[in-house]
Amino acid sequence: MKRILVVDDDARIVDRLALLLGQKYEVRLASNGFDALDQLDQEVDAVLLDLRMPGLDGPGLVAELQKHRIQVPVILMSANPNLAESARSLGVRHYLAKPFDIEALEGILDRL
Amino acid sequence: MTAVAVPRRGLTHDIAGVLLLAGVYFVAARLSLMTAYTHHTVTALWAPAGISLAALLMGGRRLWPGVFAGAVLSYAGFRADVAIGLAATNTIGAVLGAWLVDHFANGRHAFRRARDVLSWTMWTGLVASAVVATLTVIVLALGGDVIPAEYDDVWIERWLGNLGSVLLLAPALVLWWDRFQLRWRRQQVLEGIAFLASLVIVCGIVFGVPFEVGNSHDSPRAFAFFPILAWSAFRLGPRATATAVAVLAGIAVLATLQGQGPFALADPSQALVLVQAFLSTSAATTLGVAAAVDERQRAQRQVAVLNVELEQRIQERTAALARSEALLAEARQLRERAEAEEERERFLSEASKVLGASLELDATLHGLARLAVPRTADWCAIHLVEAGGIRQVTLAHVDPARVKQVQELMQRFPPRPEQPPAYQRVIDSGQPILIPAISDALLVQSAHSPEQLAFARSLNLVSMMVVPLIARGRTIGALSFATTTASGRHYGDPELSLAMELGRRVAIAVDNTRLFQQTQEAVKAREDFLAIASHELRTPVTSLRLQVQIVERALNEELARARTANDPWLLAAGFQRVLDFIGVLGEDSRRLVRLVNGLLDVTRIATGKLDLHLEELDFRDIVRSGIESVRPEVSNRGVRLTSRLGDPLPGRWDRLRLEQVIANLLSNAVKYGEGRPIVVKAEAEGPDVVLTVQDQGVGVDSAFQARMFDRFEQATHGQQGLGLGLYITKQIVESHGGTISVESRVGEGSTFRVRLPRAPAQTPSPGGTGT
Repeated sequence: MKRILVVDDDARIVDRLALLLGQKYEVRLASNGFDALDQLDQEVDAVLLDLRMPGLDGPGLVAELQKHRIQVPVILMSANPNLAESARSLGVRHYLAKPFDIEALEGILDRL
Repeated sequence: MTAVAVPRRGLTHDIAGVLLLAGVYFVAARLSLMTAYTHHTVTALWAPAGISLAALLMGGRRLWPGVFAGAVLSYAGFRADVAIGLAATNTIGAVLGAWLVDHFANGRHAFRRARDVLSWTMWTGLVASAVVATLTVIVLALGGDVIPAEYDDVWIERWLGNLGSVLLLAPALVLWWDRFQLRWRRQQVLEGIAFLASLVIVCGIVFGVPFEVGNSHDSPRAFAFFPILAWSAFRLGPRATATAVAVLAGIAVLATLQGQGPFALADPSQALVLVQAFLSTSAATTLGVAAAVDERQRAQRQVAVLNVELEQRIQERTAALARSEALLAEARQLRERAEAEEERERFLSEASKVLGASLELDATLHGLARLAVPRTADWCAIHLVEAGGIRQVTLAHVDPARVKQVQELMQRFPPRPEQPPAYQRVIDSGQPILIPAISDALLVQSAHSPEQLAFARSLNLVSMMVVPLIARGRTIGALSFATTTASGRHYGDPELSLAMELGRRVAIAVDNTRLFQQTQEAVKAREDFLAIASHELRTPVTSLRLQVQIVERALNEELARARTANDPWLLAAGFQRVLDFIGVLGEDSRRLVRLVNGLLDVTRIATGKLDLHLEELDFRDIVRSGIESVRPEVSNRGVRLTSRLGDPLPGRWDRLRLEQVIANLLSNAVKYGEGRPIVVKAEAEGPDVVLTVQDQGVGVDSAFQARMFDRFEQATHGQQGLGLGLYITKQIVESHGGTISVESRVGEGSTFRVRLPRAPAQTPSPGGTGT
């Protein structure tokens, strides 16, 4: 089973994603970038990452990952209309604009 | 029909003249012939010659038949051929004489010029008489009436007789015929009388006529006439002189004939010759002098007249010159005014271009000030009224270094409140100030220290004007111009009106720029709001959709299970599971509705449509409902909430809106309360009701306290919601006519205080605040 790390400061979204993804994947949760970094000591197969978070935000976490050369696929999520541009500038290939269907997310996760 | 008087010079006139002349001639001739001594036909005193000459000269040569007839008659008693011959001679002489006078001596005006008098004397006097004398001798010789030995005597007598008459008698006749009227002033009349008396006396002296004065045979006495004649020649004019000469001649001849006077000789004919000679010479010279004097007087009068004319013409020319100079000056003035007008227009149009070039306020005003200097001023300053006070936006001078210097000095001497500077006064009054000439006294009066006075003096200001910048009825600033001794210009009304016009345009430009800025800010605020709103709404929508998908999947699972399972309890449990999920969905949608309502409230507030539905309520009930609405949050966090509601608090309010207020305040208290107890109080204070919500949480710093009631302000980033809660709360409180305030210290918590009147005053709905 693939291990997915879900990072978002919105608790409801995190919980629901956990509920929806929990049957097919092993889901780990984090509410901000620092929390996520801690969790990344253990291996994961994908990181689902919100852009806007207090503390270490999305772009910050991506930078940290690159700095520590942690190679892990990142999927960006955001309600921000400039998501595509942000993804491109961060060098992240996969992104999902909020609100999204769970099927879309599952599609990306399957292809990874 | 106009009748023009035409002199009836016709045959009748001439015939009358001829007859008259003939008559006069005959009489004069007869009288003269009584003195014929040498020859019975010749006399040294031949009056008719002068008469006939005068007549033909003044009446016209065609009167010669009169001469002929008269002469023939006077020679009656002589032999016919002699008489006719002599008559013809006389006629020829008269005609010739008249012709000669007309052609050589200026005709009837012969006595008006000295040289004409000379000509008269020569031609008629000497030459014509010689001709007459010669012809007479020939006639008499042919007629055998004279012997050769007598030729010269006869010739001389005849010559002298003619000459004498022509020189002594004719002038007076001609001059009196020419002008008969005596137009003398009183002074001249007196002089004339004196002259006459003197003449008589002198005649008495010289000739013993009319009375004897001493021995009259003393020949030098004759020269006594010269002063008399000179007097008349120099002072009385040609006519009087000619008269005097004639009178004198008459008396002299008479006296001599009577054997009296210096010319009385034994031989009467000799005496006559002598007296004729004397008289002719005196007459010729005297008449010449008189003519010369008359000529000169006429010349002088002419000169005087010409002078007057010249003077007049000079005056006319001078007046014309003055007029054209005035016109020129006027034209120059008009042109200068037109040029000044043109320059003003040009300046205004350039200024408008500068003002319209960009919407960057400060840069535009800098550009305008630099345009004005040094064209219209040596110093230019623009002040604008802004939120914090009056700001000097720009100060310009030809030398930028000087500008810096002056600005630094101006900071050293800030204006004092009791002596506001000119721009302040203009802004306060909205009226311009014009000082055409800045006096030292003025500087002294407005200086508040010796150093400041020295600084003011060092600017060498000559003149200044300050005009208000008025846009849409409000004074938004001032435009100042000043000149220094560099240009020495003095400002007057035309410059002030230009400055006022410029001020108008600047004010419009500034106002437009500000309106544009405000519009842009409002648009940006809206855009920001929309961005935030759409962003913030997506998050709850995301979780809502996820929950929908949870419900879908759960339902599918339970349906699948329901088909295979038989246990109704399992089925019920499955349905319950789905129902729980749907319940969460319900909460989500309620939350979303609240958010959307918040957004709608904000737009309603902005468009002034926050309507209040007022009803009679007890405030305590509203507080209780508000507390109920946040009970889930409170119990979730485990926070202790205490309410202190005492006596009834009746009033008229909008229940839902005030519940919203209380819920918002309590929700914030829970969010930022750090879990510590929260106290809610509602009590009366005077006529009003005061609600207090107090927490012991993080508190708010004073900087944020100023902003916290504004839109989109959130204490911490990333909170759920749109940061509209306190803004809407404040609008609701204020539209009830109340106030909201906060007391807070970081780390110690916050106390929110809402004061409400029992019934809202008729306040206009809030909206558009903060523009």
